[in-house]
Amino acid sequence: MTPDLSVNFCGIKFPNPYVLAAAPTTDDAEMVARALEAGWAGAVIKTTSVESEPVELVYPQMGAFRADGHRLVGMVNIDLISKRHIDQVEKDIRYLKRSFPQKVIMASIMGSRKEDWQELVFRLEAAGVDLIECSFSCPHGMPERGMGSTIGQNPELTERTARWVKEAAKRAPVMIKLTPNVTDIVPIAQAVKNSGADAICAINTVLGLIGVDIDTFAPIPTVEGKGIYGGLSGPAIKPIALHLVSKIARSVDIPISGVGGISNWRDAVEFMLVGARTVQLCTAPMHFGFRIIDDLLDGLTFYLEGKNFQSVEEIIGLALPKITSYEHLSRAHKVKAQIDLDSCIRCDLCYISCRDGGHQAISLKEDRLPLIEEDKCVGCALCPQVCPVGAISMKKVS
Amino acid sequence: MKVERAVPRSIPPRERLDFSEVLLGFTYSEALFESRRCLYCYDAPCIQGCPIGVNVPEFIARIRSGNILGAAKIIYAANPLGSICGRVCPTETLCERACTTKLLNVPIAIGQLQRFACDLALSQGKVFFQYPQPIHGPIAVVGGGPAGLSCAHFLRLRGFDVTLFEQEETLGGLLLRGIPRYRLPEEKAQEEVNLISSGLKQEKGVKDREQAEKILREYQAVFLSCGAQISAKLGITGEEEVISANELLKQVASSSPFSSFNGKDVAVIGAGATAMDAARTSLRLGAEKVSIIYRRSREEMPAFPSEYESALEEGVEFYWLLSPVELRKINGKLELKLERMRLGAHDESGRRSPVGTGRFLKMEFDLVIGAIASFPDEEFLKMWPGLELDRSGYPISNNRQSTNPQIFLGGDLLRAGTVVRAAADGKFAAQRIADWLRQGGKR
Repeated sequence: MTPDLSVNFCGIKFPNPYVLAAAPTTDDAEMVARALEAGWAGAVIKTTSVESEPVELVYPQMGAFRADGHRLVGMVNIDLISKRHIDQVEKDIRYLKRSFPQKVIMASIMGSRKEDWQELVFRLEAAGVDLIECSFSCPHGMPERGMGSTIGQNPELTERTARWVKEAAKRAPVMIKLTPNVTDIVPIAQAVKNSGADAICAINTVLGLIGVDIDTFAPIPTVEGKGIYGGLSGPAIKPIALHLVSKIARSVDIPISGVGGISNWRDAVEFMLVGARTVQLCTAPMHFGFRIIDDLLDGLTFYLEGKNFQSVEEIIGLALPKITSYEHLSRAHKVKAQIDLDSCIRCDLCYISCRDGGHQAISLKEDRLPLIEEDKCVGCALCPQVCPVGAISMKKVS
Repeated sequence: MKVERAVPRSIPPRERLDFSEVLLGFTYSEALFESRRCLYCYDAPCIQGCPIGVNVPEFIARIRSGNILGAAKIIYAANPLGSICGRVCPTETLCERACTTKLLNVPIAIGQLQRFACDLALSQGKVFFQYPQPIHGPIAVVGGGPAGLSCAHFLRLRGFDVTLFEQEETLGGLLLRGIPRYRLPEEKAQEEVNLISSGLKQEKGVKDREQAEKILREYQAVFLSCGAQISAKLGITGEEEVISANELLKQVASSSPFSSFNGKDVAVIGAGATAMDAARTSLRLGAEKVSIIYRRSREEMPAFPSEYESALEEGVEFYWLLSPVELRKINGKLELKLERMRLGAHDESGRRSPVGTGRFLKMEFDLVIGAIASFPDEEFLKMWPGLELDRSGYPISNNRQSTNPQIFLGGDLLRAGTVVRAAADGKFAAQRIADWLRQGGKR
């Protein structure tokens, strides 16, 4: 039987866990329509505000962090919320709800005053929005105006603002999007819970300086010779997001929409294993297009089938009991590196990394084949990380 | 794991009508793409696979980081003919055969990356070596091909006073008077030859024994690198009608191409590097059809795989297990009588030897080119006192030192066969000469 990919999130049925995050990909009803047609479960329309909050964007907005100077692993943006105000977003929501009744249409809002937040809620609910996401997390441009991550970095502001929104929302669940740019996310998540809001979305972008142009000495992206710190997204932030999502899931009982560096179904599975009920993607579809939904759905389906799960909901949080603290890790557990010489291609990267970054526990035989000296191997597992062909494993020793 | 290898653009076989370079080399982005596949092995086997010891993973790591000049610096430290070797090295039998990545899928295109880095440095006029004021020597280098130029280069880097004796008007040897232009454009060969011959003292070639003895008296050591340019005879009746492949290549490289090949049906006897060059050159001179005739089979063919593939894709036809017996001129045509051969026992070269079957056939051609083997000029070598030759007419060598301890050897005199081996001979002979002189230079 084909596993059921649908998830229940705050009482809303998502056809599958994949949601487009509030971003340029959702700044236009036609784009969202194409994505929903392609198979995405829903979309959070790009963050909007009231007409009295002017949005003046700057260009260029993007910069890339590349592994080996090649593959894009991180992207930075200095984009802001949508230039389109609530009046246009209302129209989009009406159109999308009418065209895609089975899909989940969400809106992201940002304001400064109580009246602004609440007016946004009234109008969006009237337009038929399924869920309201509140950005307490934009790391650039908005904090200077007392919005965005200024709220999400302060538990009191978070609780107070979330309460305003929750008060106003009569029908649609309220989800608060948190910033990773905090020392400890738990008090913030707890504040969301205390406010009565329904869910948490984590994480927004990580504050970053993606690079400096070594010819002009200007930060990237460069606007007339100057730059600012931007919001880092993409595969590079996945470990940070997984950490924070799991930390919230372990501390606060609240539904979580996981976001941050998800590129494929494997990443999505990992987020769900640490407690996310839905997952949001932004950089991956911005990079490769909405078409990636085919593999996201397909890969997840085959994974669940292979593991004999009936529903994707069964995997939510399965990794959480296995996350512990250092003092609870076993001291009796001993491992040694083991090289499968049939797979070894004799590049000897294990040798050089163990020599200069480990414990000099690998020697080379005449034919360049590496040999683990078990008495010297402490089991640190550096060598399997650098092996390009996966020929090294860690075996348990008694 | 399937990884694509970047393949440089090339002129399609049908469009190779003149002597324009066939392989166009990597673009910047292609080179970066290919460099990223390199695993950066520890003590990498490709370095062992390179006769002249270019530190391949280091230079590729520099390309990967966008430090192309740094890459060229690494290459030139080992090999002053980096751009040339990047073009003409049979890399599939050298560094790329040793490449670890080959065990995964396909080796890194090391030769093309080397060419890319060196060409970029050359285009920026970047030179990575400087010869100090000579304080040792003098040393004589006889023959200005890749071996001699390389030896002179490394001797001068060590502070030796070097004089190069060359019989031709210009330096470069086979780089400029043998390797066809479509594999190595003249200006590319000239660039590196000029760089390493700048400021080099030059004399005309050695004429007689008297002059050779004078050189041995006046110079502390001699590096002989006069090549092997004497074409072997086919040893058949009608030999006088056979064109020497070496002569053909030399003429085509140095003078205006001759037109006598237009529409001709050409046979090339032999299947080594020179035969492939002669066949592909004949096509470019306008030959209607070119056939390579070889007495053994494809397995024993001495040509490198890439050269064979290129000849094949350009339309050269191959006839295996046929040995010429007689050549007769009949009505303006050349009738070549051939004996069918079969493969017998392995000979001293390790290949199966051809054995006659007593069955014959005749083929008609307009021109027949002989490209079976080349030998050193025995008359020239005999001018040098104490220089003993082996049965095949090559000087006897002990680690590049001849039977006259004052005379060192390299290049095709030691059957180098490739530019990189010749350059390596020059490099290691320079080391050998320096060591020998330091130990007192006992004669």
